[in-house]
Amino acid sequence: MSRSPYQKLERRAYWRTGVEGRASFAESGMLRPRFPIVPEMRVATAGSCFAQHVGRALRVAGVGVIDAEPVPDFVSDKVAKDHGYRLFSARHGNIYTAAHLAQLAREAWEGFRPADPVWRLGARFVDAQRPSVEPSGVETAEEVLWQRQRHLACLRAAWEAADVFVFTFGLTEAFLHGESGTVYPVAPGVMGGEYDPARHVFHNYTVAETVAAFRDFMGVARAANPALRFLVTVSPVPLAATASGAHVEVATMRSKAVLRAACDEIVAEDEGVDYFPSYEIITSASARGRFYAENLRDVTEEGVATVMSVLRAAYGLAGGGPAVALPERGADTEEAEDDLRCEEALLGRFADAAEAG
Amino acid sequence: MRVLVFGNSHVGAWRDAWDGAGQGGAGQGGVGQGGVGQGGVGIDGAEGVEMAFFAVPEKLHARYRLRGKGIFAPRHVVTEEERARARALNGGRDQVDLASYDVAVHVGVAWFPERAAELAALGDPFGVEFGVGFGFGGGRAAYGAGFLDAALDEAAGAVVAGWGIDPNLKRRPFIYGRPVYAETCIASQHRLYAPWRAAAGQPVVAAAFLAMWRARLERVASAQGVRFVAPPAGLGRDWGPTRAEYLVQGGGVVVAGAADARGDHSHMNAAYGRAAIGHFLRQARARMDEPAVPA
Repeated sequence: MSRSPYQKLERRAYWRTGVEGRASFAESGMLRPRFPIVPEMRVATAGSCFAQHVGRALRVAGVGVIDAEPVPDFVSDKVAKDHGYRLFSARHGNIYTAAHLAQLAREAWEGFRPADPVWRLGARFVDAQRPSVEPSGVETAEEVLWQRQRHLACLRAAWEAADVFVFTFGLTEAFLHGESGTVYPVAPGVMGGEYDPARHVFHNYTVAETVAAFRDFMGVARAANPALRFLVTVSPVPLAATASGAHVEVATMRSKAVLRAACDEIVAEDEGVDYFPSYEIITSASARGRFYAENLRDVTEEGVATVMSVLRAAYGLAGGGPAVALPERGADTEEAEDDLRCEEALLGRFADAAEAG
Repeated sequence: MRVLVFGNSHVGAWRDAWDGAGQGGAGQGGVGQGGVGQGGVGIDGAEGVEMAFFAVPEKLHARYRLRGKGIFAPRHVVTEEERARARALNGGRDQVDLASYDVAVHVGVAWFPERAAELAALGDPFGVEFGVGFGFGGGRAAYGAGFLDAALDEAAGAVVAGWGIDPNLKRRPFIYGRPVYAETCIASQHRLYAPWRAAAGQPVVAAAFLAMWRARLERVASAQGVRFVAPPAGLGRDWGPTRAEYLVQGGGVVVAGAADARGDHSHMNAAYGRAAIGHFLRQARARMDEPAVPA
C-alpha cells in the first residue's frame, strides 16, 4: 500500500473505530483538554439552560464552581432556582447569545447602560436584562435597579475570581432595542415588557458577529482577569421557536451551525479557549436519538449524564467513569430536567396561537 | 386563669421566675418540679393566674407526643426507667392533660431564628442599608421581596410541620419558642453557632431578617391554627442573640483552648423567665379568641 496521511492515525480518527466501535463516549477521546480543570480551580459558568448541567456536573465532581450570589442551604432548590439563584455563578439568568454576554461584561466593567432597563409586568416591574429572576416582578422600578447594581458587583467578583469561564452558546436569535442596539435575553412581551415593532428589532447573528461578540467579551473579561481561560460548548437543545421566518427545525440547524462554526474560529485562534463537544455527543448518530426526550427537544437524563461523563473523564475529575445521573439537592433524577430554568422554552407557549403557514 | 407550662428544660426559667427564684440574682434553670405554683410575684399580668409546670429533658421530650385528645404523654418507646424519671421531675406525673387548664403553652419549641441569621450572612433585603463589609469578592447577594416571600414561607411551613401537631388535636396550646442563643455563643467556634457568628457582622440586616422571620412564622402558624409566640425581642440584641445577663448561672462559658465546644448558651435564668411569662400572658390574653383549631 502506498503512503497516505490517513495511515497510522489514532483510532478516534476513523468513523469505524471512533464511532461504530467505541465502547463508551467517555473513553472515546472526544475531548482532549488544552488546559486542566482541577478541584482547586475556581470555575464560573454562564450560558443557555444547558450550561446549568455543566455547572452542576463540575460541582458534583468537586470543582470549585463559584456562586457569588448564594442563598442559605435551607432554601430549597425550587425556590432558589425560580428566583435565579443556584443556576450560574451569578444571578444573571440564561445568557443565550454571545452578544448578550459581551453586553453584560461591558455593563459590569465599562459602564454600559442598557436601554429600557426596567420592564413592566402588569403593575409590577422586572429587570429587562434578566426578567426570569423575579418571576412575579417587584413593587418598584427602584428595587429592580438596586438589585441590578448588587448583581453587577457580584458578577464582577465572580468573573474576576475565576480561573476558567464555562459558556454554553444557545441561540443566534435575539431581540434588540432598535435605536441603541441593546440586546435583550428574551423578546419583550414574553416575561414582561411589551413588544413594539417600531422600537424592537429582531436579529439573527452570523458566525462573524458571534465570533466578534465573544472576542469582545473575552477582551473585557481578560482586562479584569488576565489569566482567565474559557471552555465553550454549544447547547444541543433545539430552538423552542424562531422569529426568523424559517421553519423552526431549519432555523435550529442554522443556529447551531453558526454557533458551532463560531466556536471553531474562536478556539482556533486563542490558546486560552477550549471547546467541549456537548452538541456532538447529544446529536451523535450513534445515540440514535435516544438522548432526546419525547418532545425531541429536551435532553434526557442519560444524555446529560453521558455528556458530563465525557467532561469528567477528560479532566480526570471524580466520577469520570460510566455515565451516571447527577442528583441535585432535593430533586431526584427524574425531576432533573424540570430543575432547569429555560426562559427560551416559554416561547413554545405561543405555538397554540400560531397561524398556519 | 389556670395556665399549664409544659415542654423541655427551657421550662426551668419559667418555673424559677414563677417561684421567685433569682429575684435580684441569677436562678439555676433546669427542669423544675411539677405541680401548680402559686407564685408569680412581681410578674406583669400574673395577678389571678395559677401556673402549673410539666417538663422533661429534651432527649426525653423529643419522644413525647401531644395526642389528639390533648394529653402530653410519652410515646410507647419511652422506657419505664425514663417514665420514672419524668415522674420524679413532675410530682409523680409522667403525662399531663391540657384540658385541665384554661390555657396551655408549650415552651422551648424550636423556631429556628437562625434562618434570619443565615440570610443575613449572605445577602441583604431591599430597603436595608448595605450590610457591613462585603461578601464574595466585594458583593453581597440582593434578596428581592418575591424571593424572600417564597423562601420564608417555605421555611416557616417546614418549621410548623416539624412541630408535629396532631391534625386531630382540637384544643391546641400556644407554642412558645426556645430562647435565641445568648450572645456568648459568638465566642464558640462550634458549628451550631455559625449563623450567629456570621450575623454578628451584619447586625442591621440580621435585625431586619429576624423581624421578617418572626412575623412570617407567626402568620404561617396562625394559618394552620397554631398560635406561635416568639421570645420578646427586647431580651436580645437587635440582631438576635439573647443578652448574656439572661444566661443561667454557669452557662455561656467558652473554655479557652476548647473554643469549639458547644457549651450551654441556651438556658436562661429567672429574670428571663419573668420577662417570658409576662410576654406570654400579654399574648395569651390578646390572642385568646384567635382560632386554635385547624382551619
